[in-house]
Amino acid sequence: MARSPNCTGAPTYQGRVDVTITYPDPYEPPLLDPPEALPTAEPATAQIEITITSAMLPVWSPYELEHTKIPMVFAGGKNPTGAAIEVYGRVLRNGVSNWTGSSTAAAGGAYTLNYVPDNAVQEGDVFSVKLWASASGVNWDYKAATVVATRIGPPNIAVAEFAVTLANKPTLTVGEPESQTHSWYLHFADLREASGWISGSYTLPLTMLGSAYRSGRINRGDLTPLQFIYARPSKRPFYSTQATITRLSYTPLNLRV
Amino acid sequence: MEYVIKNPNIPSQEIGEGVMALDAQLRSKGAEGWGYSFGDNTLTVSGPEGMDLSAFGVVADG
Repeated sequence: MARSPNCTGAPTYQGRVDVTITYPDPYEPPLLDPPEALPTAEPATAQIEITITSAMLPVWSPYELEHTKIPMVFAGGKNPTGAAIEVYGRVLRNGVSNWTGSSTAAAGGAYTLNYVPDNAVQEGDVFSVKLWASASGVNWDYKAATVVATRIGPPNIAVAEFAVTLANKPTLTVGEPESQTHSWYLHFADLREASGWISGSYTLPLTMLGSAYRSGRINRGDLTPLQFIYARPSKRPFYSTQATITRLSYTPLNLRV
Repeated sequence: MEYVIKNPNIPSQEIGEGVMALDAQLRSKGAEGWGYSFGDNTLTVSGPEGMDLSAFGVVADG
């Protein structure tokens, strides 16, 4: 008599997985004092160069799960003049142009470049930021970077008692920070009712970590790239902080899916 | 409002003059800010509703 293909002979479930993810403080040096003036043409050499180091990466306990790392790079300054001025930016990754853009810094206003691409980063990657302006008087004095984890866990497994705890990351403290908050996106490809925005904590009695998105995706960077120069009336940095998994637990099931 | 244009018809972004030229073109249409991603060759423009960006390509969102 033929056996059900779902009958593997193995126990129906395995030991519970329960990991915590701790995020180190972002790389965020003090403001440049005095600020550095922006040139009125693209500089040959980037003003800002940030190398992703092991000290920036999420810390896992008691062990690391498969995941994708997304970088978040910030740069900012002010326009203390009495006229609105265009600010231009270019971000290079390992010496290759990744992004260009522009926004208008109002008279007396501030700006912050947010660069959160939808591709993975690894230790040793170098992000360079060039800034310039349409007229003299604009400066830069702020830079920061961090790395967040997304798509956590092994693909294509059914799990029971899936539970996540989330916290907003990063928290920037230098300058006069202002932030906008984005939720985590659950994206279980085969259980559409479980897809949606979450923050705080969330549990599911039975679900599946899908082939592509596994535990779900961080909003900005993975679900949607965030690459923009934000102009604000007076403060910088203005940045996106995102619901990010800090604890993940589940019981793997021996089911073929 | 955000407009997204895949494979846009824009000045080369490899040099700063191209960045400033694109900025001038977009400002003339009313753009408030914009970004261009080399990896997926996508232009994202922020500006008021009703902007005519057809000169730059097909607006996917907006």
